[in-house]
This record gives sequence, structure tokens and C-alpha cells, in this order.
Amino acid sequence: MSRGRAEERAPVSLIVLAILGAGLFAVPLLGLIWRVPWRQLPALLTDDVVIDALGLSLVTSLTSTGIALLLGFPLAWLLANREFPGRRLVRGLVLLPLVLPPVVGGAALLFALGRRGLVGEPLYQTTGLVLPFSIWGVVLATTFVAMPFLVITVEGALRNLDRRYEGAAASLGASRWTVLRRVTIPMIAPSLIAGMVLTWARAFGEFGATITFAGNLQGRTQTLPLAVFVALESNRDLAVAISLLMVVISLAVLVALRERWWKP
Amino acid sequence: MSREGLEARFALSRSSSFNLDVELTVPPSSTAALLGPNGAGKSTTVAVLAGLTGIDEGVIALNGEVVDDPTKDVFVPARERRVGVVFQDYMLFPNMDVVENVAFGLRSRGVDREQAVARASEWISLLGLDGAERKRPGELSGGQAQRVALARALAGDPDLLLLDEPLAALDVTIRSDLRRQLAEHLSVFPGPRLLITHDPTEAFLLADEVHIIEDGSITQSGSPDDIRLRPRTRFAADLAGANLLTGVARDGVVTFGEGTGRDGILRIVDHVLTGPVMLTIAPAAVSVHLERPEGSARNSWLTTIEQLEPIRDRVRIGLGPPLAITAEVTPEATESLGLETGLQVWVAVKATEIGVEGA
Repeated sequence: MSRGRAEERAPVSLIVLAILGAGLFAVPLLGLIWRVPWRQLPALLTDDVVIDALGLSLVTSLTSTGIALLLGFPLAWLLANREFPGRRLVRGLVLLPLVLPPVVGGAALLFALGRRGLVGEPLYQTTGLVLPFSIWGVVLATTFVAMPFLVITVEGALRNLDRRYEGAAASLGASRWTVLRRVTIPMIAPSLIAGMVLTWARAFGEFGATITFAGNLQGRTQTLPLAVFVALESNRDLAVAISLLMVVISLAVLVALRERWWKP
Repeated sequence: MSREGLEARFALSRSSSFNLDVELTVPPSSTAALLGPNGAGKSTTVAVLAGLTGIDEGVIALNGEVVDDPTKDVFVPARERRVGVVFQDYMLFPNMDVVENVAFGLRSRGVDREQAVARASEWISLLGLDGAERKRPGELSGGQAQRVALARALAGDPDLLLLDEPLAALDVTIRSDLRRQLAEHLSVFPGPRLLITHDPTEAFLLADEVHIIEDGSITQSGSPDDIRLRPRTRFAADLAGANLLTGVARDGVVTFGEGTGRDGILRIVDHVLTGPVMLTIAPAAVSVHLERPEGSARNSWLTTIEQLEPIRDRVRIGLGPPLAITAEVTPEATESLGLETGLQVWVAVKATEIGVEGA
């Protein structure tokens, strides 16, 4: 490569710090793999606790991603395209779960939607529905924490989209719905997919808000991260096995989508 | 009182400092050009006529049907207005291939897929795009992309064709070829055509009538010859009033008026170009002298002043055979040289001041 010669060598101090930075990501992973009890792994991974938690984690993280898409896309569209009173406030609210400690988020959900909560109490009295300590509680907690990723990614993509494409589509007779379906969404698809992956990954790994709002009941609200937490106290090998499982699933999703959508 | 073509008379203000006030009529089967510098209001005019922006005052009618009239609360939005637009940079949908792009308008208006594809394919071959059907916009040359944009705009059988800087995105070396092709392709469309451009050459060669727009207002309308010979504003004189000459180039010499007995010639910098060419010479680059000029100007000849016309701070001088071109001098120079109609003068143009383009 002729370009390589023209490039100046990077400063040594920078390289050293960069290696330390990469190490910070690599070492814990190596530590985990080093501790894996490979022989017992099949038995550990077919444990009831793991099967229950895996199923629950997959169902709740995917449901969360779906809800985030359903509610987050319209929110992102409005934030990107329309001036309305309180827009800055709404954007701040969307970003809040990103900076809020998840435990605090879970507590806030409990005060709002718990059986004695602001909204939860009338909801329980009229419909008998109890959100905390149920699978819907898990979905709600993970959506609360993960949806901001979808909203900010999609909003950014919509802002960067050249509005003239939508004008061109309108001048060709396309209804607003057709423009959205055939022009806008396909053009922001890479960002939309990226936002969905980030949302799913955050939901899949969610711990703090889930345990606070939905509790830790095996088979009902105990997702994989919660199962790891419990196993660390009682059965280290099981904790390592579940952790490995989560690493493998997350990496697989990342690699599979990178091929297709995140071409550099 | 249904009248054919486009009739537009409108005003709108974008801010306290920018007001657009335009009056345009374009009859069917004719091309009008809206020529003006950047920021003159051309893009806003496109948006207004396409139905992407409403007007504050006035009326816009297409084939006698009012599509925008704020006093009567009439506004036909872009998706219901039958205006075909070739957008600046073409705006082809990158996620669709050529057929899907061209068929998009038909599909949007409810034509079933098979029929839409069939009609799109007709336009595609009419515009010489055979073989490009399954390509994505990113795989097309600039010229192909322009024709796809034209096919897409025409496929919906519009009442008006708008072309917003259709040649600006193209490489300079192919622009003159594609301009000629565009002229041919425009004639397929029987309705009114409005070309929006900042390039006088484009306006003069493609349009039947040219409207000059400056600071949001139309300052002059007329045939290309009209504007070239009798520009009324500084801008028109500078851009529209440029001398356009067609001749034949060979070894750095361009010959004009072959067969008239008294051929004019001009020397140009480009010694490679051979064949028909078009030259542009800014009137201010043409100097007028009483004696034969010395120095670097190798193009000098004796001629007669046929016309003298003061325009604002300059005087335009129409010069006679062998080359009918226009010069511009200051009123002071006119006075001190004693220039007047019928006077014999020497004219000089530097080869470096002559713009050359293959025609």
C-alpha cells in the first residue's frame, strides 16, 4: 500500500495507551474463558435455571425491541421533523434512561406502575393487571432502559436524510405513507437496524431496572443476567457458563449484522 | 377560459430580507428558461411550482386549472399536482433500480405493477437507457442518471416539466454533448417545459424564451436573441450578454462564416481541439482602439461601430462584420475616444479571454 509509506508513524505513547485500552476489553473476556469448566459445560447449560432464563431473556429482549420500534420510531420521526412545544423537554426525557442508574429507573417504575403506584393502582383496580414481578414487568423495565438507543439512532438518521428525496417522491404522486414506506425507511435502514441491535443488546443485558421492578423469580422474571448474579453466590461454574452463553449470543448477533449492515 | 400551459403569477416572502415575486407563462411544446445567479429564488420557484411550498399571493394555473390560489383557499399539494420534476442532483432513489425509479410515480398513482413496469420500460428505451434497467443509481454515469431522472419525471404524463439545473451535476467535458441530447429529449414532451439554470449557454441553447431572475424578481423576459442583444440589467449584460460564436477550430484558429467571402478568424489557446466549437467572450474582454493595437492581443481587426447603448455604468458597443460581437467600455473611454455609430475602429481580444467548448 503506497498510502502506508506516506503516513507518519503514530506516537509511541499513543500506541501504548491504545493497547491498554484494548486490553481493558480483552482481559476480562480472557479471564472468563480461562475459567470455563469445559467438561461440565453441556450439563450446566441444560440446567433448568439456564433454560428458563434463556427463554425468558430471548422473549423479553425481542419483545422490548419490537415495542421500542413501534413507539420509538414515531417519537424519533416527530423529534426529527416537527417543531412542537416542549420538544427539547421530550428529547431530554428520551435521553434520561441513558444516564439514569438502572436501579433508580426500576424504582421509579415501581412507584409509577406498582400495585400502589401513581398509574399502577388505578390500573389494578380497573383491570386487575399487575405489572411488577411479571414477565410484562421485565419487558417494561428493559424497554425503559433500552428504547433511547433506538430513538437517538433513528432521529439522527432522519436528520441526516436529504429531505429532497421525500419531495421528489411526493412530486411523483406518493402519499405520505408511501414516501415513508418506500423512500424514508429504506434509506435509513442501516441506521434503523443498528438502532434495533443496540436496543436489543441493551435489553438482553439489562439487570438493575429488571431486578428492582420485576424481581428475580426463576421461570417468571429471572433473565440470564439475573441468573448470573444469583449463581455467583451459589455456583460459580454455572455463573461462568451462563456468562459464556451471553457472550456467544451477543457476539454472534454483532458479527452476523456487521457483515450485512455495518460495512465500513 | 381554459388556457393551455403554465400560467404563474405569485409572491411569497421567506424572510424579511427575501421576497420572491414571479410572473411566468409557458405555452405547451415550448421551453422557457429561468436564468439567474444562486440565491435569486430559483429553488424556491421550483418548490412553488412543484407544490412543495405554498404561495402568499397570486395564482398558479396548469392547463387552465388553478393549483394554487390563497384567496380561494386552493392548494393542490405536490402528490396531486401533475408536475414532472428533474431535480438538481436528480434525487434518484438509491434503494431502487432504474426500472423501479421510473415506475415509482405510476405505482404511487395506483397503476398495477406489471403495467407500471411496462410503461417505465418504454420510457427507458425511448431515452436510450436499454441495458441499465437493473442498475442502481450509484452504478450510473452522470448522463445516464440525468436521463433516468427525465424518464421518471415524464413517465407520469405530467402537465408541466420542471428541470432544476439538469446539467450542473455533470462533468464539464461531457456537458455540451448532453445538452444537445437533452434538447432532443425535451422535444418528446408535448407540454410546457421550464428549465431552471444559472448557466446562460444552457438557457440560450435550450429555451425559446428566457426569463432573468435576480433577487427574487424577474428583471427581463424575452427570446434568447432579445436578451443577448438588448440586456437590460447588469447581470443580463454580464452573463446573458456574453458573446456566443460558433465556428470551426483547427490548429488553434477558429474560422467563422465560411462561404461568405470575408471570413472572420480568432486565435484560441487550445491547439488540439478540432471541429465545430462554441466560443464565449465577455463583452468587457473586447477592447476598442482608434489605432491598430500593439502588444499581446493577437486577435485584432478593423471594423465599424454599428450600435452604441449606455447601460448603467457602461456602454455596450455593437460591432459590425467580419465578427458581429459586442464590446463594453466605460462612458469615459467612449468620450475620450470619441466613439460613435459608423466610426471605424480597431478591436482586440486576448486569446486567453476566449472561452472554448466543443459544439
